[in-house]
Amino acid sequence: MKYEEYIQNILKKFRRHFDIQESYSIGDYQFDFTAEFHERNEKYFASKKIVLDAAENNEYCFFKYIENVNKNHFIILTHILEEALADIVEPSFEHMSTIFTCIIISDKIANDGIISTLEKYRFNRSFLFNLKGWAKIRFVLADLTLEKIYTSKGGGQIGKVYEF
Amino acid sequence: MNGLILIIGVIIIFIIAYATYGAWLAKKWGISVSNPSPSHRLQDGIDYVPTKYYVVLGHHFASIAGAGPIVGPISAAFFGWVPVALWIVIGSIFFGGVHDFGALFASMRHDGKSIGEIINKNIGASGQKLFILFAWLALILVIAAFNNIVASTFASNGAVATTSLYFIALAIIFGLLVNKKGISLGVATVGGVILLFAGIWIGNAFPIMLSTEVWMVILLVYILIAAVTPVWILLQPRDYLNSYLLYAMMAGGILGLLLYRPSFEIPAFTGFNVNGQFLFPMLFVIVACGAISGFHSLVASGTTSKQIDNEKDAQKIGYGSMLIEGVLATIALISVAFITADKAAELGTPINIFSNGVGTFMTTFGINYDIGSSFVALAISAFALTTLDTTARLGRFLFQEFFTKKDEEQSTSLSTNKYFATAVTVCAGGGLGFMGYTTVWPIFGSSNQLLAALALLAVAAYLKHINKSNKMIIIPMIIMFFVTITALGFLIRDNIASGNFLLVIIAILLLILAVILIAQSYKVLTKKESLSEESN
Repeated sequence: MKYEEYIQNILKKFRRHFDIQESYSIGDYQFDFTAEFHERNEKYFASKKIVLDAAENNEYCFFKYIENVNKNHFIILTHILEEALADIVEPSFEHMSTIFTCIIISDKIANDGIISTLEKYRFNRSFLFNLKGWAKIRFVLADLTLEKIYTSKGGGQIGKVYEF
Repeated sequence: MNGLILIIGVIIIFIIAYATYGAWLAKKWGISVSNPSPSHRLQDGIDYVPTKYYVVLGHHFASIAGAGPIVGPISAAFFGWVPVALWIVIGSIFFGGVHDFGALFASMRHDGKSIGEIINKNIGASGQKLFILFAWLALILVIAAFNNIVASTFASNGAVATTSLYFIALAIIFGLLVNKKGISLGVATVGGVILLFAGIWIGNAFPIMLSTEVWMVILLVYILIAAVTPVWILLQPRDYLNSYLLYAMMAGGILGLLLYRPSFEIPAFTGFNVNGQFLFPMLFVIVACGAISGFHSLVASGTTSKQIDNEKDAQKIGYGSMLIEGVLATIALISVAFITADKAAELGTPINIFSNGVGTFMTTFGINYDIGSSFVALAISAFALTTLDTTARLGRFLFQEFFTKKDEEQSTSLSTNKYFATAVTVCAGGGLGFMGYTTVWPIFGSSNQLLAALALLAVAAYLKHINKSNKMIIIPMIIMFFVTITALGFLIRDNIASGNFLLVIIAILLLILAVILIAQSYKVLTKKESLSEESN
């Protein structure tokens, strides 16, 4: 499948609930697209000012097309996202979760152990014993040639979203 | 009298009332499918979401039902089962049902605003402060009553205490597995429910025996923590698991009742004055939630009115839910009516009496009595605990709101600090709780009923303004004002005699606040232009 066709199919699924932005940069690194989802649930009483409880959930999806992807590309991306997560997440008693999902789309995947490294990758962070929520980073690798999806640990559930 | 006949009779009367009086109310108020509901007019996918009536009914009923409709009828049974049953039936049909349905209807016609906002808007800025103070005082009474009830149940039944603590730990683990670890909800639910029932066996094997006072302190510490803990850690997963307890308890209770067919041991009527407690007004404030409850309009209409798909559904949800709660209150009455007074005294708390009743009914289809009664006590204690920490959370916000200056976004004063506000609310409620729930419950009932009367006043004002008949609101409203003000007068007198001066002060404050609110609201009620901008 061609990259253009694949990315448009995926973005179509996201448009209903996510804010989509083209060409998004973290430092010097540029992603092709990002999709952001922010949800806040509140329970209030008598007046909207009296909020009994609130919980915020956020998801950021970063899409990057790399024609010939190798292990080094993946490692650079893990460093970028782990640093960005520290800047973006604002832990508080109303913050429940923030999830980063990085979708690497490639025509050719190098045979240098990138797939096994990606499949073993796991990044979880708890803030104040989960009282201020938690954050995690997931990776999805889409092989356009074989039309196959690989996910990092804990990312198995989302693999279906990115299937061809 | 047989319990089976009573429950079937009540259900038949409620079905007839729903089809006749409920339909008549809807006709008189001009409820029609042609009026677009706020969920369609203001649909935003967040608060305003059109939802099927059975989903909204489930949510609404879970919000209004709890330990309240169980404690009230059992506590009032000393007047005999007939007056309690009559008040449940008449109260649910002509008072509580009208109140809940009317509040929901008025809220829908005000863009889904809660009845609290409608009251506040009508009685102005000073009225808003008074209303917050009134609600806060009522809430500390809830903490006092429920803390005492749950602690007494734990002290008298160590198995329930163990199971309840186990349940808290289980809920936290369940929440983390589903929310954080991404375990499928279906798998986690099956595992959670199995472990939940396993907890009942563990509780019976390892009961924790402590005194009521020690449990009260432990529970106060628990609600202090729970009131400031993020909801996804404990409250959300616990409420989710609680819903399975409720379904299992109701199904088991009704099936058991049908098979057991209990005969009543308590007298039909004991008199108008029982040991200094007058039937009028005390019956009407002790049985609060099973007949009429002001908190229904405050807590439930805020979200329910924004989700109703079709204005016609308001009858099913507002009126129907109250009648279902009346059925639950009747089951509670039967659970105390089929045992002797000595047995009731031995069991002690309303939760123990109810769990003994339903536990006994469930033996007819092979459930071991110890397991069945522990299960019911766990379910009711879980609801009472939910009430406790929700109330502490709510009281904390009202306390902060009361001291927040107008147009002040971020206050740094101690009185608006969330930990300070929580501690004051919990300590005030906890301190009152040591006086015993039987002392506190009637004042809680009075404040709850006064709130209901104020909500009825707001609905009456709205109906008058849109030129609709409001006599079905005015009559119960006047009766409720008369009942609650008389009851508060009696309670002030009794508590002066017994030296409970803190309760006397609270009762006087509630009385003064209610009178000021009535006076202010009455002026609004008689002003023609007051609601012109909001009608339709």
